[in-house]
Amino acid sequence: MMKTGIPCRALVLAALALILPMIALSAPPYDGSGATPLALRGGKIYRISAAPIDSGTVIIRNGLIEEVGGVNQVTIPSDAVVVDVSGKSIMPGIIDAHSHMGVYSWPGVDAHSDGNEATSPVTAQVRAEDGINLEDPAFARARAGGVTTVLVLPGSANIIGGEGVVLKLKPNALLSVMKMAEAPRQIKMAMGENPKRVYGGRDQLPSTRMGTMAKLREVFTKAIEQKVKLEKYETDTARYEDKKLRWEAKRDEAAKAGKPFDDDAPEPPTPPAKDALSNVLIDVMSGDVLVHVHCYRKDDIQDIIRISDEFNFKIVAIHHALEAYKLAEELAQRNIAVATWPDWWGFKMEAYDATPLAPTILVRANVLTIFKSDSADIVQRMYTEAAKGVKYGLTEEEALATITLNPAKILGIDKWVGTIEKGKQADIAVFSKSPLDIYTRAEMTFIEGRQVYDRATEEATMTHKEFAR
Amino acid sequence: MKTLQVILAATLLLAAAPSAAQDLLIRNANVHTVSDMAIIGGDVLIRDGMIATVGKVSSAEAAKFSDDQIIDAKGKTVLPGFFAAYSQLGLVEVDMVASTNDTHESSGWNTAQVRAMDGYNALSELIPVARLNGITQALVAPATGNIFNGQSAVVSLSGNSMERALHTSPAALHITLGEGPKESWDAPGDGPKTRMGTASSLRSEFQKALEYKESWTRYREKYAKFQKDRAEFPDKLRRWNEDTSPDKSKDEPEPPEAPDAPDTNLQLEAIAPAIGGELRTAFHAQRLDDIETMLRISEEFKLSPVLIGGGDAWKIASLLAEKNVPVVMQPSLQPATMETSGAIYESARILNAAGVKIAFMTGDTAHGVRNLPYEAGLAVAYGLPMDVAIRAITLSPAEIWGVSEFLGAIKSGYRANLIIVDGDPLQPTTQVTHVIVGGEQMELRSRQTDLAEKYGARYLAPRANP
Repeated sequence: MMKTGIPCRALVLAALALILPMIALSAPPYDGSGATPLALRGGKIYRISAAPIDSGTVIIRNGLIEEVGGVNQVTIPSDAVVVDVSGKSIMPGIIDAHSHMGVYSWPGVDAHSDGNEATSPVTAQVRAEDGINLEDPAFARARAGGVTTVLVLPGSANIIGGEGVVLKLKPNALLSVMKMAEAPRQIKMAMGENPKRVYGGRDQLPSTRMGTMAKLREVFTKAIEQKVKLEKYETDTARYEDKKLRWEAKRDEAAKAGKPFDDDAPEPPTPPAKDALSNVLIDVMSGDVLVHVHCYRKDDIQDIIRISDEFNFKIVAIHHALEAYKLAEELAQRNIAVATWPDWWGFKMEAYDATPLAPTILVRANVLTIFKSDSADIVQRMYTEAAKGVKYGLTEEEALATITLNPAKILGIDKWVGTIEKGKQADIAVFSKSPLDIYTRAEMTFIEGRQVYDRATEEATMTHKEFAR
Repeated sequence: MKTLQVILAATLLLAAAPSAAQDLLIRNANVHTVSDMAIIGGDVLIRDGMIATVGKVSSAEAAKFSDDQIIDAKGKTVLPGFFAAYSQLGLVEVDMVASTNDTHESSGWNTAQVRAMDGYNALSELIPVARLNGITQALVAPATGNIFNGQSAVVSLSGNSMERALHTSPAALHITLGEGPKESWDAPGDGPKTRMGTASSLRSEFQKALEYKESWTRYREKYAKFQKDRAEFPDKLRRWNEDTSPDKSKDEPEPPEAPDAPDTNLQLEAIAPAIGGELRTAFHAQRLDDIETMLRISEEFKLSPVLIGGGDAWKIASLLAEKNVPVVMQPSLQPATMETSGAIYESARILNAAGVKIAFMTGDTAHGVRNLPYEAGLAVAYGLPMDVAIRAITLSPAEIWGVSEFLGAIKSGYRANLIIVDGDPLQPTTQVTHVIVGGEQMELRSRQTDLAEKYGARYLAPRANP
């Protein structure tokens, strides 16, 4: 026994030593963020940029999509870690263009309410990124639903609520790491019932839609004045610098010649008072900040379009927009997108004229249409929202675009994310079935090549035990 | 002017006309009966608003039906219309418009006496919206927030009046434990401020109701005796008059005196039937300790409890099974509040595996009721067997709310509340092609489809004619 036992054990150990590194390499979490390629092989690939591939392979390296194509077209590098995803679906990581995760962290208690700086109806100077609770449990649940990118916005109590922030849902990461570096600045405005309810309830302006419009004109006019002042200060400063140079030259000349010099030194111009709020609106008018407007009713949408014409800024998207279907052509013509829900309605008067057929009407009228959650609950099942879109007339491709490419477009990040295409960031969700199937489950989520969710691992560590009694 | 009056009169007449439910024959369908085995390629015959035959209808019988009475459902599935196990349908039109919102009688922490049927608007625009997704009946209940919220009703989603829609009222007495009453009644002096206060208020009200019930029982006994005495009095008097014996009582018999009735108290009257379990008591509770409070109080007053919510119910699944407490739950419940911190997607699977009867509700219990089949689908994604999921939105709620003798299954003698679908009934991409309520084919139309047609007809494919 001893004689045969020892070599046997040694053999096993040797075999284990050989196998172990391979297991370590090929067990989740998978990592395609470095030089070692990662291959997802055999799944149906919903590229969004083009027709789906029934059985394809995606090669990920250095956090980017290196190759995508049919299993027979794509050559897997010999050093790649290969993950067999046969029978599963691969789609771009889901993008939620309207979220309050972090600023309204779970559980929803007053202490977690950081989304509305409801002390003044215009707070363009505040930023969602300054109110995010990184420990919000909703982030992890969104990842478990295949979500990789979200726009966190301030709430809609204020007419201008502040700047939003585009986050990649990287786990255990600082805000600076989560913040998507490539994303442009985004700002939230709100029309209709919410501002007038919040401020009207305190007998402050706005208590009416008229008041909201007056306030918008007031703050944008002030911003223009500030811009004029800043520009004047700039030219005055240039003049001053020039005068000062000449004065110094004269003085030096006099000193050289030993002549007396008592000319007064030129006075520097006084800078205009600092105005952080106007500065943001100046950036809005110069097109540096993408404008997202919360509106429900048709006239509210028309109102904010009027303001944007008066002050010459571009609206990227109308959010919620439950009556947008009543002016689909105008929105298409102006290239204004709609970020909406398939079927939420009736919670307030301005949400009463909703119809679940609206997304189909909008898409058919060539309006860029997005499904967004506005909810830490719905964000976990955005694919079911897309499936509802199909129920009411969208094609599968159109429906999946509403939660991937289309939101990437309105956030100005479609160069990097939103499709499965060579060169894009490897933000990918793997589902057990078609994402539009109600029984589907996200199995793996990748952000920039790194696996951030693994269903098998989560289920293995789940402890849903009954309590002793 | 006259024309307008004529049109108006005609409209009113239409509204008041009884629903002419003609007999219908559904042929060649896959019949998901729920109560029994599914039938492939079966027929369902509907007569006088009721299901008459399930299985095969003879060609001689079928020949009696005209073309517009026959629905060829080849390749489609017939199943019982979905049952929203808890809702505020008919009680609200727009949540934030108080004039249209009759969900919460917020005048006190005990409003046991209010009835959902008295706030039910059968013409609510929300009803066709839910119906289009296959919902044909619902429990309609006063919203949570009070300790005693009031009494619920079971309605069918048809008819132009509450009377036509109503099946049972009261279906249950509704009670809220946990955060709700604390938050609703946090003004000084308004009501209990702690879970301790909630429980003691419940005990004191149930105790009063018990005494009330007993005082009426005693009164009825006394009254029965009085009636007997009164009936016998003429005889008694006659015997006395006719009595000639020497030991005859000198006092002439007095007519019996009626006993004093206890004062009527409609609030206690509403609570009393729950004691002893004659009426179901629906407890809205999430946190484990609140669920335990429900069990304790139910034991003390011999209630017949149903748990609604039950975020932590999975933590004591086998105890609930043992105590035979059904759970009305929302599969997508989130750990979004303190008291639902224990919510998990696997709840339905765990409860069912332990032997607890479950029924499903939606998160938004009025405008969002149409999402009921997708809630069931989500539970399946997280491990619940599909037949249990379908049962949880058909027959199980009917059993829980005491209407399973005539609702919730495709069975001879049952009310014809059924739907026809062109695919898996729990998939959002499946279309509901027919909705039949009380034997009447409902038009697949709502205010929402009307609006879409008004503004976007040119972008929409013409809707299939059912």
